[in-house]
Amino acid sequence: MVQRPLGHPLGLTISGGRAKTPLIEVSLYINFLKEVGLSMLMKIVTIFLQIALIYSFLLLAMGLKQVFAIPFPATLIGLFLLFFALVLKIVKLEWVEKGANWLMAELLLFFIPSAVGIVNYDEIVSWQGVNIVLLIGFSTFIVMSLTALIVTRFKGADAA
Amino acid sequence: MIFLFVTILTYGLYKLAKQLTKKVDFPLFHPLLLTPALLIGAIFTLNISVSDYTEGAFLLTHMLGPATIAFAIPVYKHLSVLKKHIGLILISVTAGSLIAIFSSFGLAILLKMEHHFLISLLPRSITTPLAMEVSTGIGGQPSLTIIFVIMTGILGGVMGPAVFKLFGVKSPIAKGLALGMSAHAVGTNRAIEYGEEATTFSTLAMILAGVITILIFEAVPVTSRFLLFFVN
Repeated sequence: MVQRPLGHPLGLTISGGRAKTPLIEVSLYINFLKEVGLSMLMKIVTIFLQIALIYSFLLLAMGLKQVFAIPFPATLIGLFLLFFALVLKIVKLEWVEKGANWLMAELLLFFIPSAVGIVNYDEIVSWQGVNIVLLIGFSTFIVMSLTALIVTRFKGADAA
Repeated sequence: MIFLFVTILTYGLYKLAKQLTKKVDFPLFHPLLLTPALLIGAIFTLNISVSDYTEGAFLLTHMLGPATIAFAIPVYKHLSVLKKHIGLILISVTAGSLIAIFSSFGLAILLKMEHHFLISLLPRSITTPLAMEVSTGIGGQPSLTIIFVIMTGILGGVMGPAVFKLFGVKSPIAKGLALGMSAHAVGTNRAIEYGEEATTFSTLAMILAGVITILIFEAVPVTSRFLLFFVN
């Protein structure tokens, strides 16, 4: 069996390894789970703890937004905080990567309850709905072609 | 109790829709259109009101926060690409974001769209969680914005290859940036076909378009005031 540093599989090294006893217990527990072949459960626990760590950035961002009256949404502030924490090596990539991948892979699931709210707008199935589809199609065409042309122009020679 | 039931129902139908759409390759057969359709059918049959449903499913909606923050990870992973092409990326994505907002606005005025439709259309070119934030911030309806964002993604993903052919775009960097800018996550999914470089640029364009669009609306309140002045 691969010997891993204490606490590593759960991304618990945030404590700097000072609190020895609970980490040993956690790692024994992990080995036990591995031996009974419940690595699936461990994966879920890892993802759960990593999401909790990402979530703490949201809470921190909400606090900062409140205290300094920052005009941006808390999620955007949180995104910047996590980004700089990664750049400054305060948070290691492997502490958040699995949780983040799960969140991004299941992103669609989190919109669905809000998308159901569409039933409150029956205009969408009228002539206005057709107009909207045309508008979005045409506007998307403009955005896509102009962005591509700007990139090609700006890049010059190597664009061809 | 309704909380647990609604969450499990949503998750189950979402997984079902994902399986179904995997087998059928038709753009309108998208999990984000199919799942709400199935859910609306289910809650009407079970006699659950829409507001009870949305309140019950709060946990799922709440996960949008950490999911948006998770976008920091792909940006961090592609930091070297971002640094190397920072000028190109910032210019094209800023221009693209402005074009997206103002072309939606202009066309909506031309077509005499209703007020709440027009406002909810403005952030349609960015990834859904950030578009919802912008929509709420400028007085739009997040559930309308979601539908517009999905339509943008589906239409952009479908027209991508034809647009590149029409304008003779060959560079994977240009394709990636254009797809991520104009069709967010659905476009990025399309960019996978053009290779790893296109995918990286598409991911960066998708996230930065969201950030820049928020900056346009929130840090420059003049933009919102200017646009809203014309509406009223």
